[in-house]
Amino acid sequence: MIDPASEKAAGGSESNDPAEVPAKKTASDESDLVKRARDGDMSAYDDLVRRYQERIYATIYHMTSNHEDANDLAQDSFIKAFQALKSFKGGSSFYTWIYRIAVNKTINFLKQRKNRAHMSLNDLDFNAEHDPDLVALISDKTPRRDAGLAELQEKLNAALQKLSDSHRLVVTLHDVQGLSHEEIAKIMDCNIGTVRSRLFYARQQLQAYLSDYLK
Amino acid sequence: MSTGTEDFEELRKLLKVKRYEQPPPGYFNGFSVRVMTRLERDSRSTPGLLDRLARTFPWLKTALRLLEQNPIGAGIFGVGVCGLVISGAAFSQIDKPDEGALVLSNPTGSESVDVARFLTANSSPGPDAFGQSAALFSASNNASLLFATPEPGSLTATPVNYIGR
Repeated sequence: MIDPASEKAAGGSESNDPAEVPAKKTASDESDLVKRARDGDMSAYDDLVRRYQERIYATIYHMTSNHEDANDLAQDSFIKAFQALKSFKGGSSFYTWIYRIAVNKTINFLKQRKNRAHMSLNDLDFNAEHDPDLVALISDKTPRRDAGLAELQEKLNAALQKLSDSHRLVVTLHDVQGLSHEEIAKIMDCNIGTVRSRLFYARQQLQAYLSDYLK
Repeated sequence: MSTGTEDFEELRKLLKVKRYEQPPPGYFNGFSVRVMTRLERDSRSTPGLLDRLARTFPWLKTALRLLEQNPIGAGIFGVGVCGLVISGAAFSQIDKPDEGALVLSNPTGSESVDVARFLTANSSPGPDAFGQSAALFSASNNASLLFATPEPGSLTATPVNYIGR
């Protein structure tokens, strides 16, 4: 779901590496799109939505474990971002900014939902059955050899839902979406040390919840 | 505290399952269209009262969101507002008896007569704002006439012309 190349581009990392020239071009494209969208060009905003829709949806989906909620929240996030576009000063990349909006919306939603957590999981891509790591997990290494991928998916999501919102967010952004500590710190508006510490405790808790599948 | 990746290698492999979770096929093809449609619909519709208020007073939206997220706070706020309304009503009732006594006792009570006498005794003999002397009102200064029931046809209205006086 994550395209590392575009992610690097959107993250706006500074480097003199010639390989990153297209990345800089993409970033300038992005600022041009933002400027045009701010002036009311809807096609420019449509391009921005298409560029980030998958990552924003995925983040919200992994946080809620519910497709319908993720769909609503992802749409709401893009609508709110458009309405607040005039207040976007460009201090951070649009990518970080839209992520922040989506994360805040999701956390507010989860606070209200607290007592009625309900999972509505997406189907697994058929490629999952051929992933060597996953095949090993469900066949050789776990004590429950009959555990299928679907069961594993459900247990994993249930374990993630047991984490606090901030811990789940860090695991989602780092271990599932592949964002760096620096990017997560910018999105969560905290320092890198906090991100590392949250990641450590979140993984520790997950390991305890999923011990049956990890031994 | 160790944050080394080797400690959680198995867990990270397990978390790869999440990367294979995909929304229904074709979901993203129509996503941006749905967003743009909603944006167009929102721009066409007139904002509600709450939206207009929130635009005028940005803090209102924050306050409402805080109350929404915190039911206990909302309860305390509600009790506070009710308390203010009740105490306001109670204080207004405390002030009323004086006025009420005067109004209610006017038709028959002696107190009203005393008040009328007081007003008559203290009326200034000098001209008023319109240059009319107090003598013009001397007939109506009689307390017994003030609250007496007029006989039918005894009340007449005379137009007054202030120009040229």
